[in-house]
Amino acid sequence: MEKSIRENDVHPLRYELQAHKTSTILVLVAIAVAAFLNVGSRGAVNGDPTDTPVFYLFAIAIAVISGIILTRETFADTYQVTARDAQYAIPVNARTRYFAKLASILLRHIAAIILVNAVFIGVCAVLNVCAGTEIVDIKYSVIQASDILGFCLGADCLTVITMACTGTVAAQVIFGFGIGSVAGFYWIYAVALEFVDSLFGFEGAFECNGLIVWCVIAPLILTIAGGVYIRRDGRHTGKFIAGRAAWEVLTACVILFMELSFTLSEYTWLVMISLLVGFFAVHYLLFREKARKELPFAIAVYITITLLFLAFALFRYASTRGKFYSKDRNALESGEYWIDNEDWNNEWWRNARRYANEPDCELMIGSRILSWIDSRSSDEYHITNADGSLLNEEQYAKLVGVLRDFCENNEIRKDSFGDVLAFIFCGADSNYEGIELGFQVTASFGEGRNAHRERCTGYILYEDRVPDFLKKIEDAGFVVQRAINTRR
Amino acid sequence: MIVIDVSGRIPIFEQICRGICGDIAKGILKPHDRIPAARVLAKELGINPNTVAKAYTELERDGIIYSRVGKGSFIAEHGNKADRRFTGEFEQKTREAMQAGVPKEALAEILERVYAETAQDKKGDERND
Amino acid sequence: MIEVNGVTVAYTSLRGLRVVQNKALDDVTFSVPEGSVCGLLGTNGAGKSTLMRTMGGIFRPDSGSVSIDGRDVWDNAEAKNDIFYVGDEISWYERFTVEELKAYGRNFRASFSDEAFDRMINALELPKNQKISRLSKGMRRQAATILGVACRTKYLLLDESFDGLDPAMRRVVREMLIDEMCDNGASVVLSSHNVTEISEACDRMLLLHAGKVVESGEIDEIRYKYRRVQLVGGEENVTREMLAKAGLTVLDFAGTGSIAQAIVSGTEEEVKAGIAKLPVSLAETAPLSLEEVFIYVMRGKGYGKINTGK
Repeated sequence: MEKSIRENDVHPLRYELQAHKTSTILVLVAIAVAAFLNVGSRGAVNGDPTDTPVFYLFAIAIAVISGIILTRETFADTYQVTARDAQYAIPVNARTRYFAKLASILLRHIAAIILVNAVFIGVCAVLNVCAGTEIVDIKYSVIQASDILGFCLGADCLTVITMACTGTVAAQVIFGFGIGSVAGFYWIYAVALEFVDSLFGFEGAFECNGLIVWCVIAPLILTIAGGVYIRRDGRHTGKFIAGRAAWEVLTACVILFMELSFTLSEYTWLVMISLLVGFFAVHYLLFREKARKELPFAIAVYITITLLFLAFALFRYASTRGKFYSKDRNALESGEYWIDNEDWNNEWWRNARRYANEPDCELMIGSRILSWIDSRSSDEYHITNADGSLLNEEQYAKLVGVLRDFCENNEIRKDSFGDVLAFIFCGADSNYEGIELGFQVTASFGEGRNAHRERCTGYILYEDRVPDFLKKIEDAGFVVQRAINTRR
Repeated sequence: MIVIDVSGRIPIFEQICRGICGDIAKGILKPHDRIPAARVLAKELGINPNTVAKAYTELERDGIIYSRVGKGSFIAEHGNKADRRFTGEFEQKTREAMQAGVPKEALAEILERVYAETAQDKKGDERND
Repeated sequence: MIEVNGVTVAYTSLRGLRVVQNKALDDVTFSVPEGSVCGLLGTNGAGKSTLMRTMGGIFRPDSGSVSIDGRDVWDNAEAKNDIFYVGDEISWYERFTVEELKAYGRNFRASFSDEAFDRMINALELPKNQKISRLSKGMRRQAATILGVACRTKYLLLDESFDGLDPAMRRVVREMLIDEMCDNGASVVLSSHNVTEISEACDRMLLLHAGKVVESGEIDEIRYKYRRVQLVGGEENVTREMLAKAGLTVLDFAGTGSIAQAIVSGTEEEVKAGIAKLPVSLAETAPLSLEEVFIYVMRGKGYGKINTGK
């Protein structure tokens, strides 16, 4: 790699590495701490399984934030005059400089994460062998480490593109830390996942996880960032590369997109207002001294976005309200309906799915975050037949019957039963009076072209009732196995 | 001795030329004496080496110094050409005065007076030593 | 040769809904021939640093170009190899120790000379293994200048590099530059507010004001384009208008009674010819120091004159 980014006997990669010795060491320490927390988050002590999800969250935060700081320092020439003077005076083309910086981040952050985690996990594997029991859950650690890597990759490339485009500290802080943080970050992951999902027609045949998503998206983002970075002029240091107006429009589009991705619910007004407030706050932070002068323009932009959003929301609300609501609820609550109907699985799936995205559901984003967090903490169960084979239609129906009985007997709201089913069988998330159940059902119906393999995952914490529920299922003749958590 | 007055009225390279010619006139520098290289002189005086080079070029053109590649610059057999640096102006001023109508006796009187004063000053310095 | 051709560098900003352009450099044209030392002079905010950064390939001109030996310098690694800009803000280098700075410099110039670097560090007695941020302001600047000189590029741009150095150190650094020029044929462009220093160290100069070139060329030629005149009036007192009518461009004028002092532009012959037309009983002219040229040329542009209300 060094040879291909050498010009005039200049070693751009080498000087990039030399110039950042302190931050490299700090990042390595951070990664080591994160790796330690990662392996320590799930294992067993004296045979009792321990699960400390908060370690994993901290590991993510430490790895990601240290990476953002490192990336920020590497691209200091976008916001610091003295760095720009020193670096632009070197006889290297902007493209070479860009690649050298990327290479240095790749080495010091990404490769370091892989290496350090490999070492830690390797050591733990040895420990497991020596101790005879599983002190550390190796598979889990590997999966978590790959997720951390995905997050870091994503945060880094988002930081790069933000710096290439804006060069301002406030923007980096907000986009980098904000979106690099777990909450904002997961939102992007969720959107990306939908996107990749729709591209590859995921039907349980393709296991998509965070790392893969970011491996696909990162080159795209970095290419765009590169195109912008190369066009930066010394004068753009500390400033947005394009005119301010262009940036207003772009951020407006982003906000609009975010607003649109929320479905209309009783919380919509809350979302809208908080986004607008957030937008104003970010705007003020970014353009502090000029904010007052440019207020009329900014206000005009905000009003336009809001009106656009309201228009769309009203349209969606009007077009969906009353159409599927009651019909689907009835359909779900009547077990006969979807057993007798030959096409039941397809129609039901379609209806249920649509229902899940209906206005009445909770905030999709918020609950996805909760579910994602919960998915890390709640156990997952595979339910199969006694002989280990997957469920067929009748058995599936029987299982649903068990569930229905259980919910009824435990006084889960009847009108939410449909929600619960939809939730369980098609992955929408809900929180019902603090009762949440978690299990995963894998079922396969039909033959040949109509083969329909579903892996539906719902995450509900039912606290101390889960064992009861599982017992009921076992009594009905099914086999329950605790499974490793794999995200859809 | 070469003394440079940067804010002075005379260009720097001219001051260098005069400094060297002055030393020649006073007998400090004799023919075939070595003078410092342009760079060395520039460093000593704290000025631009190009300026020193310019002075040396002028002196060489006037036949006051000569250079040998690899050896340096030396005072030439100048035959009192050095004096002309000072006398040149004097000559010009004399012509001007003549054209203005100043009589020869007035100019001669100035000449005598200045030399007498300078001689007295010198004697005074010697007495005070 | 560095050729700067019609370079314009402007900063755009959004004021309300209007786009406002502020020209830091306006149609600047001049050249720096090989082997010369060019001094960049200018009023505060005239654009000296902007110009040097544009010459170093850090800023991209909105119009015009800067070529180094015929090659445009912007984003051109080959051209940048021959030129090095040492800025006025050097805190980027402060993370290194002097020894690390040497290794760093070696990385980005094939022509970097370890030997020259060491020699100069020793000559200035800079401590080798302390972080540069711990050194005094003058020493930090010296370290950056030495880095630039040790790179042995054909052209060296020094932006206020003597700032914060004591007179002895300034002399030492200038001697280092002289060695560089004579040994390796380097050309130097330096910017400074110290006009005396420029007139000693440079053979060419560029005078900037508000982004425009006021004077450029050899220092000796420029200095002798202006003269100070002292005139004693005859029957009437000499006024500024009289001088103007005589065909002289007056930059500054002060008259008390029958004595008038003025700064005019023109060579000795031109000025004498102009004065000859005036009804004066006595006239004396004298050349100006470079510092005086600076001050009076700027006054002529309305800069630097304290308004006494007269």
